[in-house]
Amino acid sequence: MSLLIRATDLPRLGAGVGYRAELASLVRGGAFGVLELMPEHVLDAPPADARTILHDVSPHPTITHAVSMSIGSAEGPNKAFLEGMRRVSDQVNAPWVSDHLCFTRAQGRDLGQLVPIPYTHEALDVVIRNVRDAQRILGRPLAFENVTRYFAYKNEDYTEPEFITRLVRETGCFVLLDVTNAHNNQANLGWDVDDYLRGLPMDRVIHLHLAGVHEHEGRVLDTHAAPVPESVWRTTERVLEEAPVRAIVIERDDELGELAQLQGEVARAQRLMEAFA
Amino acid sequence: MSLAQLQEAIAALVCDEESLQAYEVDPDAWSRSRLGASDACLLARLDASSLRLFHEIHARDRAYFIEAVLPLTIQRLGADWSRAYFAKRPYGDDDVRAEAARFVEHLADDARDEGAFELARYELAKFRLLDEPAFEPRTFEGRAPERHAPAPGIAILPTPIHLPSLVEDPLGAPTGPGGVVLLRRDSEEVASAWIEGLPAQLLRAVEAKNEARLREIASTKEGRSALLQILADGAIR
Repeated sequence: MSLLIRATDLPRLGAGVGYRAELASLVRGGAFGVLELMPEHVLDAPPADARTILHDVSPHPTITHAVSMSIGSAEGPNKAFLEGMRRVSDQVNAPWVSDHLCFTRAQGRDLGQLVPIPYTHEALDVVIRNVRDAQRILGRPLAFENVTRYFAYKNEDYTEPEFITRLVRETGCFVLLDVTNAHNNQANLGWDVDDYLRGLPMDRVIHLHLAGVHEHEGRVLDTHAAPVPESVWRTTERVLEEAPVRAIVIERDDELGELAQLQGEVARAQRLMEAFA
Repeated sequence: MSLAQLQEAIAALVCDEESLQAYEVDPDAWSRSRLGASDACLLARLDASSLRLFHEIHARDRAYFIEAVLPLTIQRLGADWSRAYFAKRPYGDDDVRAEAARFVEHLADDARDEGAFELARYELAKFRLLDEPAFEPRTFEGRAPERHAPAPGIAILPTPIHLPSLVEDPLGAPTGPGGVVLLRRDSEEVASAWIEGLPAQLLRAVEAKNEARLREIASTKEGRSALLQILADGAIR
């Protein structure tokens, strides 16, 4: 179904945050243009907590953003999870849904991490098949996010932009571009952000993630626990010049500190979206 | 090429300390022992220090997952608490309840610290109760008298050690006799009450509706308070 949907067919939602309990009062007050909801937080929560979450987010534009689909698994995506994600996405009427371009399960075992896919011919065939399965189950436009790759395979058949481009052309899925992850891969793996962006199918980039990072023993970690770096903001402006972005989400999971700072980042992202509309 | 085998091997490096150590010693040999030539070549050329970092991130996140359910237990166990458990079970479970339950089983097998095991049972029981609806006395008015199982929203946890002292000070030693913890799911949280002494007999008395024994238990202040609360609510009939 997504093959027929253009990015500009999707609603332009604005800037926002990932839903979390600490932000519930701001969410209820309508402080953000868009919310991201992890379906796992609803599916794994005690029933009363799940009801509270859905009650909080339902009045506001909400995108479901998962970590459990395991779209890169040779054994296929996690179909039981996809059924649950569909239910949650229906409950919040998500205009599109998303997960990460990675695998989180192998041989039926949960790995608890966003493990990089080796970009081989075989993996591309597997991911294309898996995305089609996921699209059938979810019944909504689907976007995939580039992850921070803490290790790199040598001699892959494709670069990440090549892999994503082929995936998008074959399945009609969209791209959730995590600008911070692109910078992290530049810092950790030597990928060039400009080259990376040039290789992406910009017409399918509908959603951006911006987050802060920490350094640990010479490597950059995607911690979601610091303000968004200026370099990431600059790249965001460049992306907005080319891509039909429908939502920007500031990812902040820990060390929230003064909420005014997070709200300031959301407001900055909103201004950028309006400036490049 | 077999993506499935390659992913299984990568999973072992991410999750299993023993596998990663073997890879660090000789990546070629380790990769060839698990994969065909082309996949082995791809795997053997990964940067070992990057893999080690990813492995540590995985272990930290998995430990955090368990600690979120069992904070007092982990406080008692102290640093390095996860090493033996992760070695025994390298792969976690994406269901936090199942993962915490497996860790409690591990503590039972370990048997070096009964206090940690009892504390973990208590914390896991509290966490599981959050999945149940809040206790509603009216719901149980018509229950058949032969049903002695705890009502939904209620958990009964006999324990041979003095649990309240460990809850108060997880690093200390139990300072009194065993007893029974009565847990009740309220609308917002799980409330607990402590009945001291003779847990097995107490439980039997409750289940058998042995009024004489229950009166005896209720002769202590704590026992009276807890029993009156629970019995008046109709949780146990």
